[in-house]
Amino acid sequence: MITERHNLACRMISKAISKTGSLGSYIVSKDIGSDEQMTIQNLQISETAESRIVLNWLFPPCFPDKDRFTSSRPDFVLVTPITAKTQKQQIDVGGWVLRSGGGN
Amino acid sequence: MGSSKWRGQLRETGSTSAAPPATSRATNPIQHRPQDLSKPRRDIHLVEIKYCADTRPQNQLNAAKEQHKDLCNILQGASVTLHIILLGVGGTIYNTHTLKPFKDLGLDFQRVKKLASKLLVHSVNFAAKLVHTRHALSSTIINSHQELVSGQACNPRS
Repeated sequence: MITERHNLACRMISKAISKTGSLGSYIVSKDIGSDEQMTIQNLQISETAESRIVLNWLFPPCFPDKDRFTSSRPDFVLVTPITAKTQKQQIDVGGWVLRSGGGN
Repeated sequence: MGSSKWRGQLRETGSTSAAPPATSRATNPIQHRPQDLSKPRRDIHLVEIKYCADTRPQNQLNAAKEQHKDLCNILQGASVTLHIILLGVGGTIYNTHTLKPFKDLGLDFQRVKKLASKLLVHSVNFAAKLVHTRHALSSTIINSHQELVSGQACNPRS
């Protein structure tokens, strides 16, 4: 029941982002329960959201597939074009790779 | 928290920040397919949704950060951002941990409000379901125990 609560909440959020949010088309993977349940809830399975695991093109080229399957799975992964904010940070820092922890 | 307040049906904590809509933040208005973006031209957003104790969101926040710490370091993009969305088991909607991540994910104020209301109802419904289930389970156990005890009392030799 607890998993069902989580999956339903995820689907509500997914639906809001996909249908009304500006970043809906940038969802590349979702781990929010079975496709059947999504269909029952009248949710469209996004064409871009191919997989439940994080897609291989997001990992370094030499990253082993086995580790990719065992790595943590966020509920959604979005890949968006770089924003002006990130570009500014890159110029300020002078490097390409920045890691930021949002949500706090 | 001193700034905690009730706004309509939603219980909110923390402060509200006026973030610009995500549409205005994209540098290139042309729609790209995510897989066509080169590594230095893409921002990766990981979204994790967690239920937490209404008055102690920090535990689940830390758990989510710890859970995806390695993944954030491995993934290749210009930036990797972890959006942690927290929902209280009793229906609490947090300003900083629920509404702000929604805004960051490109939802406008009206959509954020509507979604938060839906999630509030969803959480409360499930909280009620869980309480009823636990109550039903415990009363089943008590009843079966009582039947066992009364059965032994009627037939003490069996």
